[in-house]
Amino acid sequence: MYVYDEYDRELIRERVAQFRGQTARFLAGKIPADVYLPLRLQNGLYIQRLAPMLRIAVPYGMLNANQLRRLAHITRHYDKGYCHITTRQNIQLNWPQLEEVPDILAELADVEMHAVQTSGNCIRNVTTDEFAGIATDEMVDPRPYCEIIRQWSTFHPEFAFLPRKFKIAVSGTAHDRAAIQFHDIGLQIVKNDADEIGFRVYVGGGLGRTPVIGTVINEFLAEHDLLTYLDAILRVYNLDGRRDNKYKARIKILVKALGRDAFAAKVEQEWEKIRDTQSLLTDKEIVRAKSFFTSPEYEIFDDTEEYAQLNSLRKDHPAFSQWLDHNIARHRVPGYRAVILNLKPTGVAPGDLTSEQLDQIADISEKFSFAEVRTTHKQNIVLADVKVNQLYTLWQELEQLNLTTPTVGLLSDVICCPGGDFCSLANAKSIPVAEAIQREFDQLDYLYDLGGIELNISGCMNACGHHHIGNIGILGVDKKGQEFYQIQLGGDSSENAALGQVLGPAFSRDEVVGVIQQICNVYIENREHGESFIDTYRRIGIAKFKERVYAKAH
Amino acid sequence: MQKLIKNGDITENYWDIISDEQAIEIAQLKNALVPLDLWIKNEAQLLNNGKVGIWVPGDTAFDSLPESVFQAAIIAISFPAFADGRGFSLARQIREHKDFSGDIRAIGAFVPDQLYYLTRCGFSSFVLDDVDDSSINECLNAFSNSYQAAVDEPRPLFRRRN
Ligand code: SF4
Repeated sequence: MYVYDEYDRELIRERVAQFRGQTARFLAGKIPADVYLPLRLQNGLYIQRLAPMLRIAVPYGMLNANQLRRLAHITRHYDKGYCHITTRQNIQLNWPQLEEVPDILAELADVEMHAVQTSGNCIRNVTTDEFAGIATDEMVDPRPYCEIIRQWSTFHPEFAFLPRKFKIAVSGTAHDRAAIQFHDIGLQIVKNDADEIGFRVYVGGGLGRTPVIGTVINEFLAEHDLLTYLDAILRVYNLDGRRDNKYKARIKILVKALGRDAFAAKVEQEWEKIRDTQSLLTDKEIVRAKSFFTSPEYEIFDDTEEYAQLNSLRKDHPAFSQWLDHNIARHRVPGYRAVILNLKPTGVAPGDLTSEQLDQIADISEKFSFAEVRTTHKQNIVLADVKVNQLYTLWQELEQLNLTTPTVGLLSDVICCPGGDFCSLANAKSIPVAEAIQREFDQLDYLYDLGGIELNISGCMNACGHHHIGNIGILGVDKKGQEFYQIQLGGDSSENAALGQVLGPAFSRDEVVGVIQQICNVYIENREHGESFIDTYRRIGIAKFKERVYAKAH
Repeated sequence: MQKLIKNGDITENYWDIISDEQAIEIAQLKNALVPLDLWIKNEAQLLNNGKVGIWVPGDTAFDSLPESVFQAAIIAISFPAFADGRGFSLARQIREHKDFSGDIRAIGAFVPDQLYYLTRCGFSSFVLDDVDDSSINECLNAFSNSYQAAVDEPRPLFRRRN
């Protein structure tokens, strides 16, 4: 993973000092609240329903054991003993004290972490595939480019007061696991006929109030042109994005208003003026960035042999066998697997981790996976490099921590925003809905029969729970002061990007579980030859689901 | 009294900002920032006058600026609200696309905590209402280095790292 040099360290230290000064001046009444607002937001600090919330950046989801331990300490000492993993792979603290936030940031800086630009109308933390570097289908590791973008965007003087927030994602595989078409800028790494690396550039994707799938404005942007081109896009957006209405301020609205061609032409025109500046990437810098994401010292194994040994354990340990089938991902190196720690056991808010678990995961990562973990957009944790011959021992240890629920990627592996329990913007609670679904769908055999289904819940149309791109999406809405839930079907975050369609009128919380059950029934009755939920939906359409659900409910 | 911050010094601001409607005696103008229309109409005379600059609203499109603007000694950019970041891009365009070497002055609703970023984008002087002198330096020098290129340092850190 990326390691700070003295420049990075100095910049982050100076940032902590700057925010300490700003907070002191705010508390002394020398900075008005409306001016302090964007300053604190750009340091990750929200004021929430019950307390401030601090969002800590986890660049491309990577954390080492040291950082995990520091997070454990911070949650214990400054918070209530737990934290939350977000759908953008960041980590949130729900109960920090405003006065202590500069101290928390200083603690983070010690372990090369920060909360820079995790909120506010600026360029946010860049995201990518949680399996980067180990995926079997990877063309090019996206992380060096993410790091180059992270440095470029950090304290970018021109783009700290954009019309609205700005999110960038990068994918290095054709099968997109980073939902790049739902970002303000999505970068798909591609190669041209000469085998040179470049980027297919999508702009104007996004969720929220007006969900939009991104548009391609450049089929092949040469590798070295990355930063100048990003500068040009951001400049056009900064200058021409709407500032009169916050709901129309994202770049997607500008791209729609101008049309793809006119927008692309504007970017091109600005880019022509700046493309030959010193921001043109150098080979040296690309090599430097790549040097941080090299392979660890893998041992050499015969995969078939190693795995055969494991198979022999299955008979006596059915729970282990289930875990092996569902919580493990393939690895490009023989004899290794990635292991997903499931943070969705029933009764725990999806994505929450306690201080103890953070410490224990740190220990486990040292023992089993080169002392590193990754957070995922599905709000789980990945141990990326586990030897096949250690999987059984690892499973036993994870069992103690309640991190082995064998349901990764299934209906109960719910993506869920903090919702009305924490968030002041919420229309409805989301955590109790997730829990009700997990309680109802607790039969493993049934879940396995249903197969892969993404179920995403957001407490309001800001869509932090990505409900538009869940195969089943649940959105909290307010009906005359009452919490209701709208259901959408058919969303897809992959390269087959699709937005969910609204099923019909919203339901009360008590009705939701029954409706999900009916949706599953329609799927099971209609699927053909092991077809997945999303494929069945695509084939039969929404009408059948509608008929069933509303015939019975009303 | 408003303050003018320039080259790290804080002095009284003695520059008037002439509004669009204000009736003025062109020949008498001194230490004044005039709106674009007035400048265009009286360019020759104002250039002669010396102590006159121009001011534009922060949402002015760079391409709409006539060449004569870049002859002025001062171009002031007025921020309608501190959170309206268009002025940052406009200043960079003026510096980088036109090699403008005069003074670019921030006026209007920006705040001291933006001074560092403003400077990086090419602003060279700032007019502020009540300033807390003690924090100005802190704001101007928030960081000792930067990752990305801007007007103050056209080489990104990756071209300067050893
Ligand atoms: S989706 Fe709405 S309720 Fe949920 S975290 Fe985001 S803003 Fe809050």
